[in-house]
Amino acid sequence: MIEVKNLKKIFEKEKFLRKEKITVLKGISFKVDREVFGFIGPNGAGKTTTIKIIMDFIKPTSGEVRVFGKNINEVKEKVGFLPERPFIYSSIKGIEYLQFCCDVYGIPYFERKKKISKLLELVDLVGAEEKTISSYSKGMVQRLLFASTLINDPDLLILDEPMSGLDPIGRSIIANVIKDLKSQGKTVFYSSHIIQDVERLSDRVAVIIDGEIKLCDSVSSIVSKYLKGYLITFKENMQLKTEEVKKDHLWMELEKLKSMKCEIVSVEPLRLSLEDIFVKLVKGEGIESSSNSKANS
Amino acid sequence: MKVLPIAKLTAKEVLKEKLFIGVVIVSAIFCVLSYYLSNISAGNNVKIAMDFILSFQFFITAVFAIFMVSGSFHKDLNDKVIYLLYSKPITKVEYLTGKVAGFFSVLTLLSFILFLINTSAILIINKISNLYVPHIILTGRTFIFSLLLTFMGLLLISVVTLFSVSFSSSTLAMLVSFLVFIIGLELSPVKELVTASKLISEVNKIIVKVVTTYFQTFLFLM
Repeated sequence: MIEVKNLKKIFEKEKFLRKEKITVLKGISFKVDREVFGFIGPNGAGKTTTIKIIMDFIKPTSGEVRVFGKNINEVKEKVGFLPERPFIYSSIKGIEYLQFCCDVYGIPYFERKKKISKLLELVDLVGAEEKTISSYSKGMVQRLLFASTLINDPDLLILDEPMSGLDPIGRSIIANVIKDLKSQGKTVFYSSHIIQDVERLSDRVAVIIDGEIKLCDSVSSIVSKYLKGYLITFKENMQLKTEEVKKDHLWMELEKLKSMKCEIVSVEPLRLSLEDIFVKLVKGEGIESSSNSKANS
Repeated sequence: MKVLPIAKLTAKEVLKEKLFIGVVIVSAIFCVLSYYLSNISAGNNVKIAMDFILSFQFFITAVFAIFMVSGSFHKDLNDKVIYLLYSKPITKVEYLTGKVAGFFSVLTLLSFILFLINTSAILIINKISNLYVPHIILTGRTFIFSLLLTFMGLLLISVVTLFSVSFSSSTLAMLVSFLVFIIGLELSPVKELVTASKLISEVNKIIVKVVTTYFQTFLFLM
């Protein structure tokens, strides 16, 4: 779906009689297939620049981007895009913007009403479409524009911070739509700051820091890779006790408890959340993977 | 072609802005004021009132065209509306053509509304003043003037569009557009001087001729 190869971007900034070069992307590469792909990184890491290059809003210094194996301008009919901090003319009505999108994609008049009401229902904006956008809250504008990205039934959705500035209900609406798209076999590529949402929704994630991809893998394998150990809960002399053990010592410990005639109540994996891994990567702290972790027992 | 949807969106956006409604209200107020101005002046009341009204229409149309175009482009670029539009299957040429078409349709509508307001005001002043000026002459003059203003508006829209997409600052685009507009108004004596002078080279004479041809509409109105 999206193939990014060795993408570099250097911005030139004028500074009193000299030009300063700022390297924003240092040759990043990744591939997005039919999946929900989360793109995370701290502010200024290069997320929005990458998305702008993918959308062909700005040209890369070097490298290549292919969408559906082609230049994005040839396949824009199949792509939906939501920019960061979306804004649209405040003097028009919500329905007028959706009608404009229908005009652009050449959706026939007889299909429009049904399509628009379905989308408004999806983003919980029924009844607000006849109001001018100036009367909308920030979250409502975001949801309206999110609905407009789905109007052409895109195969690929590129979303730049779709959840930022939304209240928990708005976030849950967008998250549900993303889940729904995933079940339909669509591709969603999105950047976000909200790691819990990324962990919950994404099949795979890429972590970008200082213009470099530090980690790119499936959420489940990242989380299991950084497994610290296990927490065993057991009953001994009618008393409930817990014990933390290293990953390698699990079976040995279980055998020991069995021989002591203890009743094992539960065994829970102790792992770092995606957020912990992300924070450690941003801070430049090394992360101990499961193979060399030390469990506290 | 995605020109029509862009033109429709631009027209809807501009028509609902305060600037458009403000221009119509100010023009109507000026029509009332022109009656009092013509009363305190010596001479043909109807002619004086008409001159006031048409001069004001000329000025307000130019100001509206410059502010409308540079304001709209500024909003598209600064608020990143452009990203939202370019993410759809719209080319840069379609975007610019659609924008210009939208601006021109709004300007045509404004000229028509101002024509109706001005003609009504002039006919009322004509009736109050008890001076006989045939209605067809008054209506004809305001109509032709409105047509010329619409064409001048189109030229101005194209000039401001060019500057708005060339300059990053909307204030700079507006200033340069005003300057070009004023230069266009003052080209008549320049052309006469240049064509009469023997000191000016043929190349420069051609340049001046090309420029004056482009700004011919401004000169018509002088």
